[in-house]
Amino acid sequence: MSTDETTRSTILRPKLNRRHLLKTGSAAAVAGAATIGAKRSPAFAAPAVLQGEQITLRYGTWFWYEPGRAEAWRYMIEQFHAAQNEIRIEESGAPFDEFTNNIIVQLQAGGLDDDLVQTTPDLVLRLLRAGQLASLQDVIDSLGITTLSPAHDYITVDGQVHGLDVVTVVFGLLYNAQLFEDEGITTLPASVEEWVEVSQALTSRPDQFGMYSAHLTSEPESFWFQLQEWAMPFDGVWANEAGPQVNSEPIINAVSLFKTFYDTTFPQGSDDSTATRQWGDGQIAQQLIVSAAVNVYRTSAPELYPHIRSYSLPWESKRSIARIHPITVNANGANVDAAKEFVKFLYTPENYRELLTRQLDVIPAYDVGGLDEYFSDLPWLTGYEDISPTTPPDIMGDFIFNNQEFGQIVINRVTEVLTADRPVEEAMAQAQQELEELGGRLGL
Amino acid sequence: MTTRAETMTATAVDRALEGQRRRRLPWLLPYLLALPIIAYEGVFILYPIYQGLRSSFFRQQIGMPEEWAGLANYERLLGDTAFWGVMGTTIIYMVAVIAAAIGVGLGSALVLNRAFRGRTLARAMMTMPWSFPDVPTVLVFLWILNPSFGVINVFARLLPWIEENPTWLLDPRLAFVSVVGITAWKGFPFYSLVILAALQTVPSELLEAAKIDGASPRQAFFAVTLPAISPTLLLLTVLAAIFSFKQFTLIWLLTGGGPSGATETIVVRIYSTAFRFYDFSYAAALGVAGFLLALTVSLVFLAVQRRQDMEAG
Repeated sequence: MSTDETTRSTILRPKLNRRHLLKTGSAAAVAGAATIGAKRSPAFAAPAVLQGEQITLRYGTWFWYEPGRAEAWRYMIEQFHAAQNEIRIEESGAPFDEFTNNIIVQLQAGGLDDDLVQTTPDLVLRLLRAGQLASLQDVIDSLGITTLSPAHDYITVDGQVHGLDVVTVVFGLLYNAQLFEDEGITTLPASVEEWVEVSQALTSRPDQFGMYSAHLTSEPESFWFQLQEWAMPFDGVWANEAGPQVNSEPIINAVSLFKTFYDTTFPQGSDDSTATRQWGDGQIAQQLIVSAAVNVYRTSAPELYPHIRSYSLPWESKRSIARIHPITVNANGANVDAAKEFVKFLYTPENYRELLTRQLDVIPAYDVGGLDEYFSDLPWLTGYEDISPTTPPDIMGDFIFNNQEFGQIVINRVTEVLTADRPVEEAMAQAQQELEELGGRLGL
Repeated sequence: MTTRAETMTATAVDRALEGQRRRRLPWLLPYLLALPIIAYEGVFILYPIYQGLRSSFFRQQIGMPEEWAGLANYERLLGDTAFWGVMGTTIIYMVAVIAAAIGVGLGSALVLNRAFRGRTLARAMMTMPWSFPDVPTVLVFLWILNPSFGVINVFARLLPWIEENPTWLLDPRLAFVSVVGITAWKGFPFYSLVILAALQTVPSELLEAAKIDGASPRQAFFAVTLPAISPTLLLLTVLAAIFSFKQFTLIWLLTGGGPSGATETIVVRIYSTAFRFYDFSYAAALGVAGFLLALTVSLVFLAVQRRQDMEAG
């Protein structure tokens, strides 16, 4: 294995995971555990309790609506159906924008309809708090997995993990290498100042834009989802145990940086779908975006895909938000055991590898091994390799349960900075006051 | 074996019962006919209203049992500055849309009421904005108003004082004007058609008499036409108020209530509170407040109409 490959495979495991490994044993033990896991479950066999009776499970997720990811999941389900006859998986759910609402409305109406529920980092917490999730610790134990990413810690209660990540997304800087080459940019930015400079050099309005990030109030979820990442260059947090921190220096710097990019490099007024099209047409040079987006671009912008690259985050800490998306089992459903069997099938090392590579994901939830060749075939992966992941609860504190309301207050004030030239300090001071009132009302 | 007499008796009894049924039917019939609509209204309208009202007196957390909150949600509402801002925006938006949509509707109806070549085609074309579905309309407008490549900028830049492409949906004032303009554009054909129908009921003898008496077209309009169509205009004002009050799709898709709450009406606020912030009981209290606002507006207009009717004898 070359040095590069070693670095890549090591780095793509979550950092805390590596620390955990160092504490508990050697890397060899980890590899052994993964191998043992693989040997224990070379093929799936339904437990005796399920045999002779066909069960149909509803799997609620937004994946069915995402190009690339949908095909990967349908393939895995075909494999699951081929491996046994007792359990069938039925597609359920809604597109991402409506999915969380659908689940919450189901909860309010009395309970979850689905046996398996795909979750986001926020939704999993809500379901956990509402006592809707079955423990999946037995799945992990039965597969002998000892290297589960510590990103699961926040959904582990009394040593029982209540969801297993099937997609980890992390923010990185994707760029169109063709545009960089055309502009004669050969040295990639290594600092925030250089990043600004290069982005401005790549901007030639109205034909080309150096950078895109969601910035419209008509897309509040995207706006807030991406804006949170802009605090990372300054090691900022939006809230912590002391309360909201939006008037802190790192956040002021983050909003100022966002404003600079907005003024000089963004395609102002472009919504997400327009920007995706502009990106596909080679009109946008860079995006600070999650790794999972590449899978969509492979399908939606096949001509651009070969030119997509990423570069190391141009800030010293390399800190970036990683979001796990755990699959969960409805604890109050009628088919808990059967649902766990499907999760077990997915988490069997060879199946998990298959799922990860078909989804074009790059961060395994446990040390599954055998991915070096796959990683070496992804030229756009470079910039995601040395990222230091942080989780949404790390940057939102207890406000994670009210993430959208918090975000709405922030983006209202940030919009004033962007479009009405309101001073950043003044706008964020008002946001801080509003968020403190929110915290007071919520008892945080 | 049944005898002939017994058969005849049975037939007579059947006839008598049939007669009774027929006599009873007229009494029952209205209730039977109304039953489906009463059931529908009860299940799909009254029950949800009751639940909404009830929710506003509780505190609900997702997946947790609800707790009695008394008037806490209403106390919070009265002290919520954002709520009062939203109410203000809602009222201004309603007034602006009423003025723009009915104003343009009246103007276009007056034009289309005159005889000219191609009038039928013009009338048909005028109705098009009203017939377009909301979502595709918004998507097209998002492109038209895009600050980078929106076609509207070509025309805006012809104005001497505009040097840069305006940020139509990003600047709070422009966003409000844009949203009102699009709402009015989408709705005016309906008002225009109704006013057009009303204009055709204005007695031509009165207009001719006014003309003979030397009235100018403007004087004839204000002295004859406008009073004749004013009941219709009043009704349309009530309808426009209700339509604009409950407008959600256009606002949400165009601006999401932003920027900085500039286009956030009560309906948008209720949606965000319930389905983004999951604060269902407070959203229910906001819903009750919105209902009271709509009711007040409707009652004011109805009172004005009743007064007009009384004055007209």
